[in-house]
Amino acid sequence: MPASPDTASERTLLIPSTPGDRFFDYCLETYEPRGDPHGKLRGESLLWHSLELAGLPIEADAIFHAIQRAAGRDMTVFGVKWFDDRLSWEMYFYDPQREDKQITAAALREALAGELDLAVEVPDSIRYFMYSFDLDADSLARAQVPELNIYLQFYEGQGGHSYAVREGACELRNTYRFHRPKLEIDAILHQVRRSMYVDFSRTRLADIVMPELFECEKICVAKKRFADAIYYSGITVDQLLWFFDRFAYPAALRTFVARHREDFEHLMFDVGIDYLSGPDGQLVYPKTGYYSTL
Amino acid sequence: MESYKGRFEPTRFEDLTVTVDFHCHSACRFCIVQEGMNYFKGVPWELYTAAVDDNRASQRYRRVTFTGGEVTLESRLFDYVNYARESGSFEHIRLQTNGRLLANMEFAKKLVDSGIDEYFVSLHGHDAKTQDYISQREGSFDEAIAGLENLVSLGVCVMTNTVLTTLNQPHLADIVETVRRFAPTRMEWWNYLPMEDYTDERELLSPMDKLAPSLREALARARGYGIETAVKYVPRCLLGDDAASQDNTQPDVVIVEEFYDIYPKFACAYEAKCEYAESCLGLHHPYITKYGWEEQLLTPYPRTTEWDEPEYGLWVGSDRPGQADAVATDQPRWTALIDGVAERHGAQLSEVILQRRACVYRFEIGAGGRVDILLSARTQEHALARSASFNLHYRNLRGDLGDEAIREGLTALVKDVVNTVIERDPGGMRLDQRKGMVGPEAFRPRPKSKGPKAGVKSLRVLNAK
Repeated sequence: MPASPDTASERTLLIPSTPGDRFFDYCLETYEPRGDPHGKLRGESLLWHSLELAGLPIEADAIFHAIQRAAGRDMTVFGVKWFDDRLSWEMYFYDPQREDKQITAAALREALAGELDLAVEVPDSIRYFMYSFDLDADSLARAQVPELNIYLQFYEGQGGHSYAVREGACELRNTYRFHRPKLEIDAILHQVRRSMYVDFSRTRLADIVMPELFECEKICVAKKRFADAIYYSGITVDQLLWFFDRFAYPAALRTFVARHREDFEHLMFDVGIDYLSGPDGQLVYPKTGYYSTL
Repeated sequence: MESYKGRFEPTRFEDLTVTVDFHCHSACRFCIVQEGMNYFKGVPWELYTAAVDDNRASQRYRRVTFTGGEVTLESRLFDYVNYARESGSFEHIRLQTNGRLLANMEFAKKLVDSGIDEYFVSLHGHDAKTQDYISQREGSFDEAIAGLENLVSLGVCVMTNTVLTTLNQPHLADIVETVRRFAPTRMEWWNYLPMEDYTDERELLSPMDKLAPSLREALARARGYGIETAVKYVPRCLLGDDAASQDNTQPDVVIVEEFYDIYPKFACAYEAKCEYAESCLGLHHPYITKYGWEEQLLTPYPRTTEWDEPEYGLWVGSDRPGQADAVATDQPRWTALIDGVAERHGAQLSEVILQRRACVYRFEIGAGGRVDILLSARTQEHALARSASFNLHYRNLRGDLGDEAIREGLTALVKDVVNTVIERDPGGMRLDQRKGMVGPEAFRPRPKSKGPKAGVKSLRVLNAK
């Protein structure tokens, strides 16, 4: 990885806020910024910085610019994933009411043609409210995405199921539900404790429901194929910095955000943590991620 | 979003607490300013006397407390005490001390003669072995006990303070037995706060399943002897029959502001379910990280009212001397800044909340509309606007902001409040007379704290004028 991603690069890392900026969490729900955005940075700065940190050539940026053009500014949620000491990305597209023809999976596939090949076709007739796809250095180099994640919403409450759809295959990947952290603590604890992957005789709840992140807007508990996960939505830049420390993100990332702490202070961020008990019974966190909008 | 549990700022405005300096001849194993003693300094004399002079006129503070470090070591202590006494503006002068030097009757008498009428004496062990081990000074227990004996014979008010750690947890009731003969007015029990040791490498944090029963026994014992008790930083629901003894408020201590940035934060899994969510801090983060949320041990008191995120901490009472129980808007010095604004907008000023670092005006308007205007000390940091003395922000918006009329109503109200404060603020106002008593000159440089700041929600009235 490059040693000093914030300095000598042709990639523009610091994207200033503009008067028309909208502020969305990773569910693409609006929030009021925590302070005056004037003179501050947009959350997408974290995305560009992560690409730099991962050592991706600037040519890779074209795909993200194309996504931003296709979906509209602020309308794409990006997740930066930290897994096996490598960074990767997931891009999320929301349209729960299916109002925007521009943002259906089929429309996006068409809009990105020539920049990024979304190999999977998902018919608009499927009542998904959101879809996403993963990108890493390899898929960016190939400019091809072989798999889409399709999200189907619960009837009541905020949450749903996700399926991974590949050519000729569809697989349930994830069931998740959102809660208000303090008002729905019983539901959160219930969901967390029902686990196929965690040995709670050897695990403290506080290693999952972390006090440092508990002060947030929403908590999401997810059950995945090979791990459980918890997401904290609406955290401050200081909590984000704590998260980077706690989960041993590259020092350069922490340095970057700490250096621009006041430039990110108006924003709220979201983070996710996959967890399971390892072979020795200790809780391990195989994958984590942080989110903002592009 | 962030409740007061995340920000440790309880305040009692009637007490002026002065850190004379930071030296100590004990070395208590739990000391929370061990490192701080290397860079904190005391309150400069000129600033101290200015505050006392101000109190002579305002009669704002009823009590002045001198603390350190170990304040009895300070040669200037009597200068400070004499100035306070001669001002005639304090009802009580209190000393916070480890009591060791008070073993010298001549010195104890000199203190009493100087006008100090209340003595808050630390006693962390029930016997010499325990206390001396904790203080790391042989003979410290005997000295403190002798000091207490001297104070009692001199007829002054005596209180004790015990910091709860693994080192004394099994012997809390024994401490009551040790001090009962001194008939203390009050025994305070402060659970240990790791301020320089968040991971508890010193292993001082006592798990609640051990600490709570031991503490309950001590509280019951004290109650049996007619001794008032006060407990800090232990969840109320663990205090049994003596739950009412929980008191998490603190007088402000004149100390560098950064001192408070290293206070641990608190949380409780049952915050939204508990009747006492607004006064019980729950558990601090280092404790939760080490021992968990204690979700099996804690039992929330069922709420009788709907829970709302308590943004600004405990109500601290009126700023009229001696009228701490007055109604929530009875803050004459502060309401004067915005008098008449609410009426112009058909709104209501529902609360004025004074904190150590902020004054919050809470307005209600229309059906469910609410906004808080927050005044904090003027700095060059980002603010919605600045008056001569303050940075102004607004936050905690409530109401349907999608409704144009409500949004416009709130916007107009915020603009008017901001402009009125700017117009009326004469400059030189302080949220707390003690603010500014300790400035940058009073401590040696160290890395600036990066503690989280409170959030604001935006109504886009950024150019209020």
